[in-house]
Amino acid sequence: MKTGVEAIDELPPLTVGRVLRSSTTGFVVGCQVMLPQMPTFGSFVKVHIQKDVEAYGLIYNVSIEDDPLVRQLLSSPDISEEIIRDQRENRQMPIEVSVLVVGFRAGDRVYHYLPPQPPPALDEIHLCGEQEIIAFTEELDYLRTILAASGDIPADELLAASLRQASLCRGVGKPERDFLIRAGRELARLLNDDPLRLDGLLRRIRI
Amino acid sequence: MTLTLSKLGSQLDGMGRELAGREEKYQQLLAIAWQLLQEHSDHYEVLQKRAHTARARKWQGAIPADEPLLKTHPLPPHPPQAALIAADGSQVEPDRHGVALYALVNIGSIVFEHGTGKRPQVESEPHLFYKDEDLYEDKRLLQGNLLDIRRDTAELQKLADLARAAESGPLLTLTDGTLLLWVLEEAPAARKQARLQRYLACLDSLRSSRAAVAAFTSRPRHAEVINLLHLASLGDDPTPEEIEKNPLEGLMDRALFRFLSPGERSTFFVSSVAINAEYRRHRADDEIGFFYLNVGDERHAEIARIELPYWVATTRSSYQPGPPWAGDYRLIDFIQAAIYEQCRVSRGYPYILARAHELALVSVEEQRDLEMRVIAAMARHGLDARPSEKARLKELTGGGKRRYRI
Repeated sequence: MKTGVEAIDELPPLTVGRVLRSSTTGFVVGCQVMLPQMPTFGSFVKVHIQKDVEAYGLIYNVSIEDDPLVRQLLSSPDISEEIIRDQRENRQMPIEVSVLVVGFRAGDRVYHYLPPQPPPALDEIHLCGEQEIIAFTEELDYLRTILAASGDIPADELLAASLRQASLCRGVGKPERDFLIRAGRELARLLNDDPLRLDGLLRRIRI
Repeated sequence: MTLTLSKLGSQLDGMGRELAGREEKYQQLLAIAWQLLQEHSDHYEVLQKRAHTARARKWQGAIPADEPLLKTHPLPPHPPQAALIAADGSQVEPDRHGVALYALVNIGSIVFEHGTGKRPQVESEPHLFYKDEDLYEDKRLLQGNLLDIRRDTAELQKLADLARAAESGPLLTLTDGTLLLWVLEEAPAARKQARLQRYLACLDSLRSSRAAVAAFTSRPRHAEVINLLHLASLGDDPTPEEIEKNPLEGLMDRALFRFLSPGERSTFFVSSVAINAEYRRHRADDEIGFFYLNVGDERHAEIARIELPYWVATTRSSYQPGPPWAGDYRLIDFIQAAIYEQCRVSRGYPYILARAHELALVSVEEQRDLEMRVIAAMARHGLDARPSEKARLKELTGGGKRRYRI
């Protein structure tokens, strides 16, 4: 299944971090960021794989790694407000961002299945712009990839978060509602043997 | 991997045995030193005179202040609010095999307003040296000690700038290590003066900001009080040979001062190292002195050395809000309270210094990025930049050796 990418966003892409380890189904990004800039759950991201091929993914986990200085401070009987603010607002926290791959783009075509190769280590991960998200979610076959995700991935929460984001990119009101109705229909088709799960998902994306 | 650890077995065992034997010897010496300390504690006036005489003969030791040597000062209360400023620097040495000759000093600093709940101000400020007049001093390349002095002066300059901007109230400025530019002792006189004057000008500026200026040495290896005890054990007019032959050699002051309780400090001593005479020449009370402070806790004594100019040790300042800091206080008491409090949260090393150090550090990756930027900048101006063949080969074999201050 294919969709044309009609527009490239005007703003330069926001960098999330660099690939720490990867496979064709997902990858982990390591970065040091200030807390306010921490990437958010359910965001669409992209990473370069080879010339003119980019993998698309969804952030399904953000974890703050152990930091020796923070560990030491924890053993202190009382920590002052100034130190807490210094740690939270001035220091770059080492974080790991886990991404589930949901498709890729080759040239101007979008594919809702796994890319041929994983992204190479140290490659930069960028947040997708609105137009890219709209183009990628024109078709909804990627929902199947999320529903089938196993392991630690909170699939239903991730699916709902991605749909909410994709609907917001289309504009408040009718465009947003139309998209969610279309997504609801697709979910009903995919989950016709699991009405309980379907009900939970529909409740999560209701406006 | 070229270090064959299995071949080191017997050497490591020998090292363990040697260290154990040395420890036993030090315990015996410590008992002697402790005996001397108790005997001579009250004779500080006699020792002052003797130390001043010996100083003229290049004796390097501690000159006691007007207090018994064993006098201790309990932990004073911390002011409810105080500005604490720390600066630390790291450097990248010039690399003859790199794409171009340059040096870098990176100064990390933090302004920590204790008791205000404010977010501390942090900063990293890099200085790149690439012009010939910056890279060479007396035709000597800016590396090693020369770069150390450049870094130390930049640290103090940063503190002076930040202190000028600080609001009134108790103000501490802290650096890691020493305030004594002892590395200048071997420099030619003219150069020594120029560098020293720059450093002393920063100290002057801090003085006019009424800052409590201090430097913190963790696990100090100094033996100046030990040397004073040896001097005390000699007669009134010891010969240079007698002074030279110190049976307590190898013992360190910090072993002697382990008797201090947590938060307690020793009395103040002036250092008699030769370079300190230059500080005194600048202004009589610019000489650098020190005390020892136990920054550990009940379970583990951690003795740190705190250096401060003589005028800081003798200055009283005033601070209005609330008891027990209403009225005036001694800067030296404030230093003791503030450093102990800073060490309490981050176990034996001041939090603000740990942060300043973190802000100054240039990682291996950043060093590589810098090199790439240098190559790009050179290319923009039509220069073909490439490292030496030796550097290129080292990179290939993973043996690229560069020095960073940690």
